[in-house]
Amino acid sequence: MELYTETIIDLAKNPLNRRDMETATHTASGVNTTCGDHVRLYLRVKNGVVEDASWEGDGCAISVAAASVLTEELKGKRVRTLADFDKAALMSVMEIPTLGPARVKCLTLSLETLHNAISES
Amino acid sequence: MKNLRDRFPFFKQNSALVYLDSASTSQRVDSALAAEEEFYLRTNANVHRGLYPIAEQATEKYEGVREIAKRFLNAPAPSIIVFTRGTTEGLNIVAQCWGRAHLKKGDEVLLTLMEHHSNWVPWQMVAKETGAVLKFCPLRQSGDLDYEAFEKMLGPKTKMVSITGLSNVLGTWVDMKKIVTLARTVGALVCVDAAQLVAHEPIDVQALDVDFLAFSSHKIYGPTGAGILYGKAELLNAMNPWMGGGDMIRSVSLESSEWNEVPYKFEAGTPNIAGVIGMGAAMEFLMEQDWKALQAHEKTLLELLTEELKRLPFVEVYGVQKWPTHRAAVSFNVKGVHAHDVAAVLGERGVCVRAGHHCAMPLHAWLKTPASVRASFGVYNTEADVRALVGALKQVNTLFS
Ligand SMILES: Cc1ncc(COP(=O)(O)O)c(C=O)c1O
Repeated sequence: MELYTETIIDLAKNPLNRRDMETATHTASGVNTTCGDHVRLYLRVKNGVVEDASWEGDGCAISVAAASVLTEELKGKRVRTLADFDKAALMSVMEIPTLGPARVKCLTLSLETLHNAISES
Repeated sequence: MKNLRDRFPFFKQNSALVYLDSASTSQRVDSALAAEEEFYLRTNANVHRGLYPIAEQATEKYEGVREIAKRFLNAPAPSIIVFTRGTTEGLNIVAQCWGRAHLKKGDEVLLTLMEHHSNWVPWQMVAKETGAVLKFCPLRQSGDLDYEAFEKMLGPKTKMVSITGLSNVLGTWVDMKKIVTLARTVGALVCVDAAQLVAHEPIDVQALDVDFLAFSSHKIYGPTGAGILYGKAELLNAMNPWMGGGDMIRSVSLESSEWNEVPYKFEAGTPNIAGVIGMGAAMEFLMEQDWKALQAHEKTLLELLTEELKRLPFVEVYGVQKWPTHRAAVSFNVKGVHAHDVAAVLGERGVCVRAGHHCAMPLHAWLKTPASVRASFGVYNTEADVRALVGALKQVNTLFS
């Protein structure tokens, strides 16, 4: 089974939404100490809806692709529905059928950071 | 080394696999597997307890491994060979049992920047408790230990030098004779983390005059969960045990116990009997080898890999890989690609290497990278393995560029 599909590699080379956001209403950071991946996530929420989402950071292809896909997915969603967006949902959007134990954290880093960002507000 | 590869049944099951991760754990030699199996099938019984024949045979086999280890390390006696679960446990025994009793506020323990976390964290724990200070000898840009700095960092307060014999990241070989000579000028003890070293050169603890030395069975072609701590008799005798239980006591009354003698006082509980017996077979396997031939082969592989990597402009190698002061392992990165992605893509192509900080985060901070890819050699590796790695690295680069 190939993990490194064209989609993942493309996103790793050309990440989406990787930018600072001065107008963010929600933000949180996360690190994955075992591999040095780090992410800072920004959301701009208005009337309970995510108007914009972006991230800054660095990491392996899986974590960069995950942050890209996640921020893309968030836009236009209602904040109270975000808790339902879980690992399985993210893997499905990224077209990853299975992920070994060593790599799961690369995928969930931005997801956990998102949940921190919305719970801290 | 074709005939040696045949001694590893793993490769019969995985003939196409390119295994370049022996610094992490080696494959197991057939005789070690057979010794474990024989114990379980024929003489399985607890040691030091039963009075029936198989229990006595099990005890003899198990205790016999101290005799093998004595020869393997040229230790003066089998009684100062302590069985452990591995290097980590051995180093923790030294830090906890020797360190707690002897280190006082302001005393210094000298380590190096390239230590594995298992020769780092135990000393941090003891330093916190005792008020001792940890010092770290730097490396030269080449990845060699900076011996001049080492000499300068030694002083009257240095009580212990705890140091790796061979870096698991850079493959840096340490001149242990020099280290011991320098340490003695200030009266410091020397503890060697030989986890990597034992697999790559024969060790003579008496010639080196080291005070403690620890290694793991699973990196010398033996089973996991077994290892050895060697210590000088007067030091081990004066140390308190760290774990209480069966086997480590001579007598127990309501409130107190009398410790058993060395080595048993450090071996509480039913040990990993099969693992120790398998480790014995692995040490015998290494002692049967022509070390000159093994090292010549390793040198060939190291030089081939170094040359090939030099030709790949997209690869950054850490340290100067020059035999014999560097051996066993080469760490590198593919520029612009995370080490985990490199290792995962190599893995998809049947090449097994390690990626990460290799339990040496401070060293990686010095290398200014959170993670690296490491290829490391065992006696079964071939030039074809090196070429397969290099070929797969080219594919990684194509994929990500
Ligand atoms: C240099 C070094 N020291 C210590 C260890 C720890 O060995 P173990 O995990 O077998 O206790 C390792 C293993 O990775 C090592 O490479």
